[in-house]
Amino acid sequence: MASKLLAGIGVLAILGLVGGSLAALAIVKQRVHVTIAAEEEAAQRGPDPIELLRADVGVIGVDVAAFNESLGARFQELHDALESSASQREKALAARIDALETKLKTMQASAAANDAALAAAIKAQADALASAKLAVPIPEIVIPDPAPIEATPPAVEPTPPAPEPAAPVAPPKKGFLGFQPPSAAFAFDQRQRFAIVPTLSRVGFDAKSTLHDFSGLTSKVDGNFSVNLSKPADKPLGTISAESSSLDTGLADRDKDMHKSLGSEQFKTLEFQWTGFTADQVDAKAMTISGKATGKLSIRGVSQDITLPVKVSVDASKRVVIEGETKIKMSDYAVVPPSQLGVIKVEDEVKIWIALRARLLGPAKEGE
Amino acid sequence: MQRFLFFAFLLAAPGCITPNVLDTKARVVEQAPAAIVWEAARPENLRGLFESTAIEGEAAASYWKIYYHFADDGTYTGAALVIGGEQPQFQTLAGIWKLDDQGLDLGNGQSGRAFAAPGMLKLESEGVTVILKIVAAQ
Repeated sequence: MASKLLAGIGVLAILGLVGGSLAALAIVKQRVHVTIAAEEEAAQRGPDPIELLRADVGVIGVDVAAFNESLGARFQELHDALESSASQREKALAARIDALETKLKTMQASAAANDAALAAAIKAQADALASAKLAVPIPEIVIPDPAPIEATPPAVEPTPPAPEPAAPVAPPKKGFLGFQPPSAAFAFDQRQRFAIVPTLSRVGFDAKSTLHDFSGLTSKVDGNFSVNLSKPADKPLGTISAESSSLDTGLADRDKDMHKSLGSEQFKTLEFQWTGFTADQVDAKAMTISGKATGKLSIRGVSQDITLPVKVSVDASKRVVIEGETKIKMSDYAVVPPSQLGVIKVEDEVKIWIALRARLLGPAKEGE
Repeated sequence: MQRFLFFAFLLAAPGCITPNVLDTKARVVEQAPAAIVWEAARPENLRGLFESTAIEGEAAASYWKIYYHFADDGTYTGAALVIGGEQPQFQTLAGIWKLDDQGLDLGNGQSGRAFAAPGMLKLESEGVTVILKIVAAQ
């Protein structure tokens, strides 16, 4: 009985399974479409896109791998280059710092030397002025301490230039009632130009005659010269001339004869061209010189070399005072010594002299 | 006899005639003060155009010539030919002048002493003495 029951149950279960399957098939068949294309139709549609996508993905993967390798190599090269450049720059900066330090030391040494030279020059000038016993008190000269030069590390990055410090304002020179003297004043130790001051100058001669000795002189003197008074032998150059017809001996008749002998109408000037100097003594402190001036003396159109011993000094008004004398023979210059009746004769040899004052004109240019 | 006397005169003459030779020390022209009697200048002495005839003193080397013109209305102008540069150059001034017991005041703190003589003026300042003469209109 039980076996029959079990068989019945089994049959019913089989029937239930078949029925359920059929019902499921009936429901799902509306949702699923299975198409089996023919081979020709598949060929017309082309390759399978999924396969193509797979292939592309594979290629991209290979490319990415290659790019990754290349990028790594580039990064390595870049790293090496940066390290090399930094090393070179560091070396260059070190060299530049060394150069700057050397330059700074040189500048400091030069500044110290300049300060010492300036102080010595000012002291010498002050001593010279003091020795000249000038009436004007010498103002105390204060030399400002040079600004300390600090060693600063060189800036790697360019920095804008620092504003220039204001130039020190020099105290105005004392002038006369508002007039200001020029910056270039009289200097014993510089080559300068000087002009003869006629009203304070004379040239003349002393002559001997049978009757009595006499002098002739004139203040109509002109000329200028260039010289460094501290080095008078260093290419002195100048011309001094006197108007021959203005020579005056104090006697009109004698002057007439003298001017005739000198040919004053034709030869208007007596001229001395100064071309050299042999110094016996130069005292820069006292501003005095003694020595021999050499050059050409022209009288009546005849030029002869002469040597004229002179003494040079500087007066309180900073004018150069030149005194000198020498002997010449009139016959050397084609001058016939005046004679009266052949009895009163002037000696052929005369002493010529100069007593000049010259004032500063300014600094001498090259070749002057 | 006459000839004898003539030669005797010639021989004796040099002993009688004083030699006319300039002393060596007198050759240099000294700037001895001229015999001018200076008096303290009064305002009426400062009228017209003045031209320097002598400049002496420490700064004299810097000035070649100085001119001043003092006007009645109290104004003045001046010009100085200054040397020391490459070429001489005129400097000019102008302003108000005042002369009193304190001296000559040309403004801007510029003052000096003024002395007068007929037709002349002497100005002293800063160690410089300038003697000027009055100049007539030309």
